[in-house]
Parts: sequence; structure tokens; C-alpha cells
Amino acid sequence: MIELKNVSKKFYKKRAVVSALSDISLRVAEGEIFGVIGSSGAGKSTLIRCINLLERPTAGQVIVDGKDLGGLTPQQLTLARRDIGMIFQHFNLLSSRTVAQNIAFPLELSHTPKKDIDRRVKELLTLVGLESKAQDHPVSLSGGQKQRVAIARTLASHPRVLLCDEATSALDPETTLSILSLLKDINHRMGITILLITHEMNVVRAICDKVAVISEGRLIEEGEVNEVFARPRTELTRRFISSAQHFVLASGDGLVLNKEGGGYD
Amino acid sequence: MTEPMIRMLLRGLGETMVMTFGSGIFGFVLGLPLGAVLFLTRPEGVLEHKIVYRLVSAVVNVFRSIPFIILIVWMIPFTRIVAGTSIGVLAALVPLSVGAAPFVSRMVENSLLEVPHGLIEAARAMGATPLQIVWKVLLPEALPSLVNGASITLIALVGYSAMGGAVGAGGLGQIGYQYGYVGYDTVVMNTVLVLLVGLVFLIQWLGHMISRKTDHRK
Ligand SMILES: Nc1ncnc2c1ncn2[C@@H]1O[C@H](COP(=O)(O)OP(=O)(O)OP(=O)(O)O)[C@@H](O)[C@H]1O
Ligand SMILES: [Mg+2]
Repeated sequence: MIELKNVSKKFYKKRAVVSALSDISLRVAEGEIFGVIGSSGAGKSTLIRCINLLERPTAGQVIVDGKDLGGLTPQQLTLARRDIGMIFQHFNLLSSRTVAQNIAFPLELSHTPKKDIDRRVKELLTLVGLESKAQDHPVSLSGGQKQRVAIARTLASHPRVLLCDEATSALDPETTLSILSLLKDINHRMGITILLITHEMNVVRAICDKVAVISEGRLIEEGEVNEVFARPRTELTRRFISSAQHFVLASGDGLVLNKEGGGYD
Repeated sequence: MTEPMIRMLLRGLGETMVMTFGSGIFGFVLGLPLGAVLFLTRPEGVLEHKIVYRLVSAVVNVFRSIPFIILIVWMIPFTRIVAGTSIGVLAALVPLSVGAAPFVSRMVENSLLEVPHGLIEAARAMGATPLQIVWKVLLPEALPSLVNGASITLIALVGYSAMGGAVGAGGLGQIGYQYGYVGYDTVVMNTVLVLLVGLVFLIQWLGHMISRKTDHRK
């Protein structure tokens, strides 16, 4: 569903060249939940932004749903992006619009008839459990509710792929859990392929089928989540795994997260 | 105060309001698209374009640095072509609008720059075209700030229109010029002053109200 072939990304600053991604190849199968984990500055955001070409790779190919995005005209790319959902750490909801209007936004972009928009918005509000907030503005919502609106908004146009850039990093453990189970549910029911990036192994363990570890712009490990947890091949991966276990022991909420999160394995 | 005088002052107030709001509207019609172009084509912008940005930017800067009284006089030939005359309210609208447009465009550019970058990213990710980004994201999100900018523009235009009054634009400016500079009439002068200050306060108050009503960020 998503294929990266030898993707590299360099940022040219005034003097220096920052090599954010070096020769990354990976493949995410249809219906899979694929996690990418890495430390701060490893290139996670750059990687996910390369998938919908918010950032253009310096080299390599990005193929989503059979389309080589690099070869599209700007107009074709705009249309292709409507099939690729994306949610963000800071939600990025429009403050000037109500919850319902935010969810309607992508449908307005594709000139969907008003009647169909209203019906779809209702469906999505029910899906994310925010029927009662339809007429509220985002400012009055909690972080978890905002992310639910963002998820509903991105699902409105029936994307085949969902990209999540640290979607739970601004949320507390319990809310993280509820958002993760919502994502799992969406993946299950609609067969949407999910690529999520995170710096928490707990998130990977809770919902991912496969995981890739990146460090300094390179992919250093990749495999089935169970495999990687059982037999990590690199020191960094081992560190991520043990930090996840510490997290579980250290906090009461973590235990809940572990127990219920483990239910997904 | 005699009745003809009251009538004259009221007509002056009316003319000043027509000049202020009329040129404000034209100024926005010209300045808003220019401001959007500046925002979109600026370095790292959604439609980054060095040449267009530099060109528009230069034109805006040049027009913004011409003192308004000089702009009016310099534009007289052009004003004659557009309005058929170079005196009166209608003629004054031409230089006032041209004077307001670059002011408005910089103000619009600055308002759009305040919109969080993440919102533009999200809109791009959802497949918004550049035009849709402007109409559905930037302008609505920047509305409270644009309204504030509009009231600042209108207040500046009250001042500009009064300056125009000295060269035959009509309005309270012309009355003030005739009854204050040509021959001093205390009552008329003070009334002109009160009316102008009142007008500015009204604009400020309205701007503040509308800006608050449209702001859903707090
Ligand atoms: N627009 C940009 N211009 C220049 N350098 C950039 C840009 N975006 C990212 N970088 C650099 O690329 C590298 C990877 O950044 P990236 O944001 O992808 O990291 P990340 O893994 O998402 O980190 P974090 O967990 O902190 O979000 C960093 O060294 C960063 O400074
Ligand atoms: Mg990041």
C-alpha cells in the first residue's frame, strides 16, 4: 500500500547540509498498522511528510496505492492527497470552525453536495463519540476530543491510508489508550492502512503489526512487533523496549495501558 | 450655530464617511489579493516565487513610502481620467484607494503570517488547492486580526481624507481647512474636531466588537 524506495532527504541550510533521511526503503502492506519509532531528531516527521509529499524527497520513489507520487503534476498530487489521511501531534483543527464544520472541511474541498456532507459528518461524529459536541468550537475541547475530531475529519474523504505523526504524544496515558483503540478499530473495520510514528514503544506494542526503528535518518531495524520485542538486534531497539517496560512499572496508569494495550497483541 | 452651518457640517461628515468607507472597500479589493499574493509567494510560502514576491513587494513599498498629500497631487492626471474630475468626493476616492491598497496588503500579509503553520500543513495534506487554502483556511482563521487591521486602515483613511480636504476633496477636512486656516471660526473648528474624533472612536469600537465576535481561539 505504501512503498518507499531508496528515499533520501537532505535539507540545504545556508552553509550546512542536513541529511534527514538516508536511503530508506520500506513497504507497508494493505490493512497493516506499521509503526516507525526513533528518538527526537531521528527523521520520523520528515519520513512521514515524505509519504504525502509535504516534503519532497531529494532522491528515491514514494509509491502509495500504486501511484508514484513523485511523477504527478501538482493538480494530480492534490487529488492523490485526498486519499491519504493525516493526523498530527497538535491536532491542527481550524479554530474558526465548529467541530462539525471541521469534519466537513475535506468534503468541501472535493465539492461534495451539502446533503451528503451533513450525512457523512453525522456518521463520523457517531464513530468518534462526539455527537454532543457538533456545534462546539475546538477551543472548548480536551486534547483527546480534539484528536478524535481530527481523526473524524481525516476519515471524512474515505482515505485508504492514514498517516499519524506522534498522534498521541500530547495526550495523557489514558487518553492515548482511547485514541489508540479508536485507530485500531478504524483499521479493523475499514481496512485502512495505518503508518504511525512515535517515540514510545508502548504505542507500538499496543497496536502495531510491524515496526521499523530509525536512527539518524537510517532504518536500522524492521520486523514483526513480536519478533522485534523478543529478539531485538540493535542496542537502540533494546533501549526502546526497556524504556517501555520501565514506563509500565513506573506509573499506575501505565499498568492499565499495558494490560488493555496488551489485549491487542 | 445657524441651520445652514449645521447642514454643511452634516454633509461634511457624510462626505468624510463616504470617502473613508468607500476607499476602505476599494483599498481592500485591491489590497487583499495583493496581500495574499505576498503571503503565498514569499520565501518558504505555499507558492514560493522569488520574482513575483520581489516585484509585488517593491511596488507596495514604493507606494507606501509616498506621502499621501504628494500622492494626491501626483495622481491628478490619472484621477481625471478615472473620475472625470479631480475635485470632490468621487475624485478623492481614487488616490485614497490607491493609498490604502499597499497599506492593506502589508497588513493582510502580516495577519496571514499569524495563522499557525500547522493548519496550512493539514490543509495541504487533505488535498486543498492553494486557492482553497486562502479562502477556507487563511482568511477565516485570520479574520479577527484582519478586522483589527481594517479598523486601523479606516482610521488612517479618516486622516487621509481630511488631508484631501485641503485640496478640494470635500468632507470635514475641507470645512476645517476653510473655517480654520482661511478664517478662524472657533465653533465650526471645534465641531469638526469632535466629529472626527467621534468617527475614529466609532470605527475603533466597531472593529473591536467584530474582532471579538469572530475570535474563537480563546
Ligand atoms: N524544514 C527543515 N529544514 C531544515 N532541517 C530540517 C527541517 N525539518 C527537519 N530538519 C532536520 O531533519 C532532522 C530530522 O527532523 P525530524 O523533524 O524529521 O525529526 P523527528 O524524528 O520527527 O524528531 P521529533 O521526535 O523531535 O519530532 C533534524 O536534524 C532536523 O533538524
Ligand atoms: Mg517529529
